[in-house]
Amino acid sequence: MTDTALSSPSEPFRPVRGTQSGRLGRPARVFIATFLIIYTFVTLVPFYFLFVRSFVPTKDSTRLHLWIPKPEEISMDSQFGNLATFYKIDVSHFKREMGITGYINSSLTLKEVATDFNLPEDKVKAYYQSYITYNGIYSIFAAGKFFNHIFGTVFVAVVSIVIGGFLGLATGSALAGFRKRWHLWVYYLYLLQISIAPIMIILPTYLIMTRVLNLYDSYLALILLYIKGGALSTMVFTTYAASIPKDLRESVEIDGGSFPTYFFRVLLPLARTPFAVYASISLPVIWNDLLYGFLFLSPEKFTVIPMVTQYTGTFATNLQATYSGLLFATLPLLAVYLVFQRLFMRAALAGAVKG
Amino acid sequence: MSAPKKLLTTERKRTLWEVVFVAPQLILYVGLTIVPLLISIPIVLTNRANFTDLTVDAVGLSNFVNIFQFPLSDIFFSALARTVLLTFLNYVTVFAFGLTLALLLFEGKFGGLFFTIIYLPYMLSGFGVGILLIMLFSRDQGSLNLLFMEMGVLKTPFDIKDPSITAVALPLVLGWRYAGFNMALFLSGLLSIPIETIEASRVDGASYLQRLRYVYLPQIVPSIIIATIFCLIGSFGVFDEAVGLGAFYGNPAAEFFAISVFKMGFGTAIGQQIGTLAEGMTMALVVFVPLTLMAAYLVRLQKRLQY
Repeated sequence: MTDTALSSPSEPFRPVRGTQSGRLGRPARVFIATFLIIYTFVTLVPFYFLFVRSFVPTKDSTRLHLWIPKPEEISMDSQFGNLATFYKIDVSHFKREMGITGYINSSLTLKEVATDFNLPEDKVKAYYQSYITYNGIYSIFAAGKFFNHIFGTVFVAVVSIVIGGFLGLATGSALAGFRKRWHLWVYYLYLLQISIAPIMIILPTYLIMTRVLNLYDSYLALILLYIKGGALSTMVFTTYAASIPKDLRESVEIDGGSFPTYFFRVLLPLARTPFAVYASISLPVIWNDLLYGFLFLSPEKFTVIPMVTQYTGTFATNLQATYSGLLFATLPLLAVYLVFQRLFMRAALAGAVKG
Repeated sequence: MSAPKKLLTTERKRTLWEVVFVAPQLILYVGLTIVPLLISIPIVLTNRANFTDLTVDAVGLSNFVNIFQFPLSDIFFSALARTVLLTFLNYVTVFAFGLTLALLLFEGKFGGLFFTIIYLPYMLSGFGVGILLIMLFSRDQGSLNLLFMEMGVLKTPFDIKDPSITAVALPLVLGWRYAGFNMALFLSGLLSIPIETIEASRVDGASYLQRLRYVYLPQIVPSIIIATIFCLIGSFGVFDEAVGLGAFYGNPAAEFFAISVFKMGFGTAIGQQIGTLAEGMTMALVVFVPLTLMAAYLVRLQKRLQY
């Protein structure tokens, strides 16, 4: 019997709480709880620092900040051009906001800009002040492209997970039960995937993608790589399909239904749990992927993580933008995780483990 | 005679449908996982310099000799040594973080919130881990450096650009990131132990260590094997974290094996070409094929243990 990997769907999904018997003494339990509380606190420290550092100006980064610092006041004697370079400010945006059409000499100070163009000093000051306070966030959103990258990533992730789940279920539906020798062979071929590091085959994969399939700079390249199947999806869906009672399948056959009828009428509608397991394990992998996006997309189309790499550089001057970029690239996934935390937990306990 | 005939055709029909359902994903899988493995075999026997190289000559096995000779051997061995050390330390954290937390949650019967928070760092990207290391341990602006100095715990700050600091800090932060992942692996093993077995050991008056040794450990061997495979393959493939640490921007401490392979294929794009594409593929095969075989053996072993 080789079909026991996830066989009874109810079993791996037991909640952690209250499943073990045991009479752990109160002191021991308190001790464990204390340790866990400290550990979870420490676990959150890096995230906390990431949040704070997103608000710490780069030039102030050598000082310890435990909370968002009070923004320093912008000096009206700062040079217009220097500010634009340092804070990555879009000059044309400034001109639009201020209603300036002419050329601004970059060596002018802000005070001179204000007098030359008849602007109230307060207005100029307020404009720059917000850049200084939220510089990191401004830098990543100012270009107006951040959301494009987010949408691109969401698109790739959703399409990959939906199609990948469907294909995985199709694979599982056929392999379930391992009635034939070739079923087992195909299954083991998929299992081989966990022992193949992407970097091992990245050079030839790149060759195939760009020279044979001609898929450079297409989301399709990424989607194909994410839906190609692997150990996890095959394990999850094969076990699910094997767990469907035989009677259901026989009743479809007696009614004259063929295999596709069984697949679409019985397997697909009941596949919510295995799909959720598959989705919650695949999502972080796809969302956080660097290598494929970096290689197969142009910078304009980058998914979020390759996009954040662009804020770092040889002499990464704007640390604040790097940290803000990372923070905002992580937040959407964190939000999904926190909303569906129970699902993620069940999936983590059931997923690759029982393979 | 008609009944078996009909049976035969239904069976044949079913096989046909099964092939139709298996084919789409299998074609993709074979095309993008197995074929790349196969086509790199003829390429490693040539002097193909890059992806657009049109003048390709067969050079026999000389690439296999080249990677062990100067100048490539320098890169190869130092990257390999760094990666092996990382793999070893990562493996320590698998148990130090993952197994410890799993046992604590299991014994304390804690669930929900602790699990959610411990698993949370897994949502951070590998690249993010690299950035985080710089944010926390960079010499001048690392938040933890600054904090420890302020508290007086630290006299001279850590410097993440120092290879020996990276060698320790990276596995530590990776252990933190994968703590929840590994914990879940072990926890699911622990949860599948029949309650009666644990009860029986209690009744027999087994000490905790005895219970750990004779009841838990044998039952979580499949989990340990899976965790070993993930750690082995993951650590040798460490790439995103190294990029976050500035591997492309002159941080030699982040030159892990995957970075070397990448540079041999795509180095021109980042202005750091080393070796040829064919040599890069050779390097990847020489290191990863034994690993893949080892992992495949472990998968088989794990399967056999389970049934």
